[in-house]
Amino acid sequence: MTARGAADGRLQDPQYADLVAGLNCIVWEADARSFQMTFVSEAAERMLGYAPAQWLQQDFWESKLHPEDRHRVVASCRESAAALRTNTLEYRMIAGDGRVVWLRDHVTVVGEHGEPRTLRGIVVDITDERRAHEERAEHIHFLEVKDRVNRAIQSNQDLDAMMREVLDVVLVAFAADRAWLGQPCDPDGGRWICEMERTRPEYPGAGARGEPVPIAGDVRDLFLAVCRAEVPVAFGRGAPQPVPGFLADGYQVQAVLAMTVRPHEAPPYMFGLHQCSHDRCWTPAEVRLFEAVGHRLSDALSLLHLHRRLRDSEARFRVLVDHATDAIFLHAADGTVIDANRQGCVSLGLPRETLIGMSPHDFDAGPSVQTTPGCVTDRLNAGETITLDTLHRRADGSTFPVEVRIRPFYENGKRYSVSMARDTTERRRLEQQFLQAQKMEAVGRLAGGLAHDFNNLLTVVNGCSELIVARLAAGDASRPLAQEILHAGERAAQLTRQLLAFSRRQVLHPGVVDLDRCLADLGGLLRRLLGEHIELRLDGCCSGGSARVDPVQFEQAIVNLAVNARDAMPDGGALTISTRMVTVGSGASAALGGLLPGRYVVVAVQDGGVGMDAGTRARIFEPFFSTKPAGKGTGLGLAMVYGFVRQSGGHVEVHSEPGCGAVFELYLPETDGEVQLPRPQGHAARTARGTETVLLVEDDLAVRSLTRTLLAEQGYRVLEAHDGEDGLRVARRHTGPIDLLITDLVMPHLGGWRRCWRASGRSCACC
Amino acid sequence: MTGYAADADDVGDLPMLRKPFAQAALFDKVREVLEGAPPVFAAP
Repeated sequence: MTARGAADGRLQDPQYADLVAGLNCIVWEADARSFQMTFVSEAAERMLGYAPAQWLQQDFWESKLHPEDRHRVVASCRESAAALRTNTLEYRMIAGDGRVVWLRDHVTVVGEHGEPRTLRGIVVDITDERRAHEERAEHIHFLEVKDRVNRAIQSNQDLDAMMREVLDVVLVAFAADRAWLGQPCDPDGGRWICEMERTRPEYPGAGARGEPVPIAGDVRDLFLAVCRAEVPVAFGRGAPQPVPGFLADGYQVQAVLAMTVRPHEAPPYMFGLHQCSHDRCWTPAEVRLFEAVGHRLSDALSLLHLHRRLRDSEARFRVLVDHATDAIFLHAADGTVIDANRQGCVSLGLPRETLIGMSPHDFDAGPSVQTTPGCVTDRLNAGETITLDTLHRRADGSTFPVEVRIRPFYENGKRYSVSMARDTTERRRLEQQFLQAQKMEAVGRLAGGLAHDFNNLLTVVNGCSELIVARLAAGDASRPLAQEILHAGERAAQLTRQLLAFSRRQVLHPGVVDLDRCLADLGGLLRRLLGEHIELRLDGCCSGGSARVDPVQFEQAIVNLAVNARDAMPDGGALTISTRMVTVGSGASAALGGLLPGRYVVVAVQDGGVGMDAGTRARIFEPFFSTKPAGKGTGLGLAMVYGFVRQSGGHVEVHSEPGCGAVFELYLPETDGEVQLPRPQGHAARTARGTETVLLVEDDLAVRSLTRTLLAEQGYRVLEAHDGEDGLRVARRHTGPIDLLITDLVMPHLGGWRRCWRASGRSCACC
Repeated sequence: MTGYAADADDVGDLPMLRKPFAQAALFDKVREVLEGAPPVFAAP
C-alpha cells in the first residue's frame, strides 16, 4: 500500500511501486513549504508502526519527532529547503509502540523557478548503529575516566594528595557539583567528617565549611542505605529514596550518588557525588563508572594505609634500633655494611652514609678477624651464630674492645647477617677490678694466716728475749745480743701487724671518731714526719663528719699515706689532707668497689709528687709491692691502708698520673653516734703483782707456756687450757673463783666462750 | 676456719692484747681488767 499525493507519475507504475515498497528504507515526498507528506513508502509502517495514510495527515511527521530533536530538525529542514540544498539529518522519532527509533534522513529539494517546491527523502533506521556508537563512546569514557583515576592514584604516595586528585577527576568526569570522601561510614557514628572534598566554587560543601555533618534523621537513613548496599545508591529523582532534607536545605543538594569504600584493615569511607545545579537522574552507565572508581579508590586506600602502617612500623623499629645501647650493623653476604643504628655510628664516630658500604675490616681492628677474614664468612654461610671478642677502631684511630655477636639470616634467597657490638670497656674494667679484688683477697688470706702464726712465734721469741735481757747482768756480753734479738722481733711484729691489717683480720676497736678532730690532733706528728721541706695543709678538714673506725688504725693509715707522700716529694711540696661528706647512690656503687649506698666521710690525702702510671696504680695495694728502693719500704703501708678501710666498710680511690701527684680518697661510712673519747690507759705498775686466779686459754703451747711463766712469776695462779672446750672443762673442775680469762681469739672451738667474755668484764683477748 | 673468732664484731669492746706482747703490756692489761670488774666464774 502506498500513499499518494500529487506525486510523480512513475509511482503509478506497478513495477516501480513494488520496487519502492520492497526497499528497507522509507521513501517519502512532501510539500517544501508546509512539510505536508504527499507520499510515504510502505517501509514507514514496518519501521515505525504507523500506516502510510497516517503520515499524510497534516503535521503528523513533526508530531512524532522526539521532543529533544524536534526544534533542531524542523529548523534544519526549513533552512535546507530555502537554500535548495540537500540535507542529511539524524534524529529520533517515537514509534507507534513507544520505541525511540534513530533515523538518518537524506533530503533533496526540488525547486521551480528558484523556489522550493517539493522535498524528497530516503530514511534508514540507524538505531542499532547509534546504540553501538553510544556504547562505544560510553566505554571509551569509562576507560578514560578510569585511566585518569589510576594516574591520579599512581602519581601520589600521600593519602591527602591522592584523594584530592582523584576527586578532581571524578568531579569533572561526572560533571557533578561536589565529590567527597569522609569517615566514619557508620550510621551510628554520631557525626561525619568530610576528610576531602572537591566542589564547584558556587557549591561549597561540609568540607569547605569545616563543619561535621550530624548523622541523624534522614541523613542516618542515607548512611543506613549506603552501608547496607554493596553497590552505589542514588538519591533524588528516579531513585527510590529522596535526597535527605538536611542536605537539600543546608547544601542545595538535588541528587546524591554514594557508596561505601572499604579499604583492607582500615575503617570504611563514604564516597559520593552531589548534584546541586539541577535535578539529576544518574544513568546506569554513570552508576557503573562510579562503582568502578569507588573500587579502585578502595584498592588505593588499602595500599596507602598499608604504606602508612609500614612507614609507621619502620619508624617505630628505627626508634627501637636507634635507642639500643649496642651498635647494630646489617651486612650483606660479603660483609658489606648496608645499614647501622645510631649507636653504631656514634661508637665508630662515622656518619651513617659513610658507614654504609664499608667492610667490617675497615673498622674491626681485632687481630683474629684481620688475619683470618674468611673464617667468619664460612661460619656464617654454615648458619652458625658467632660471638667474638675483638676491637673496633673509631674514625680518629682509637680502638675499644667489643663483644660482637653475628647472626646470619636469609631474605628472598639471599644471605645477610646482623651483628651487635657491645662496648666492653666498662665490663673489662670491672672484671679487672674483680680479679684484682680476688687476688688481694687471696693474698690477704695467705698473709693473714702467716701473720697469725708468726705472731705466736714472735710472742715467744720476744717474750723469751725480754726474760733473757732481764736476767742478764748489765755488763754481760750476751746482753746486747739478746737485745738485738728483741729489737728484730719488735720490727718483725710491726710487719705482721701491717700484714694483718691488709688481710682485714686485724682485730679492730672501732669507735665513733670525729675525723676532722682526729686529723687536727695528728697534725703535729705528721709535720715532724714530713719534715720542714713539705708543707702540711689541713684547712680542708671541715666535713663535720664522724665515722665508726678504729682510731689507732685510722691514724696509722694516715701516717702511712703521709710517709708515702713524703717519699714521693723528695724536693719538697705540699701535702693536703681534706675531708668532705658524700652520698653514694646505688648507681655509683659498682665504680666505688661495691660500696653500700649511703653517706660517707671522704678523707682525701693529696700530694704533688711524682705520681704513678696505670701499671703502678693497679698494684699499689698489693702487699710487698713497692716502688721505693730496696730497704726503703716494706710494701705494706698501702696494703694496711687498703685492708683497714675495707674492713671498716669503706673504699679507697686513687687518682694519679705520672708527674701530677696522687690523691688517695678514703671513703669511710658516716655515723651519727656519739664521739667516743680515747680509752684511758691502764694504771697498773710495771711491777704490779697479783694473787688472782687466771684461766689462760691458748692453743699454741710455747705461747701458753711463756705466758703462764710470766704470770706465775708475778704471783698469779694460772689455770691452762689448749682450746675453748678444754677451758670450759678446766673451769668446771676448778673449785675456786676464776678472776680473769685470757684467751687467744684465733683458735678452734671458741663458740661458747663468746658468751662468757661478753657477759663478764674480766676477759682479755689476745690475737 | 669455722670456730675461729677473728673479726672485730666478735670482739666488741673486749680488752685486747696484740701478740706479740711485751711483759709490761701483759701485766698492765691484767691489772687493768681485774680492777673493779667481777670474776669470770664465781666460786661454786
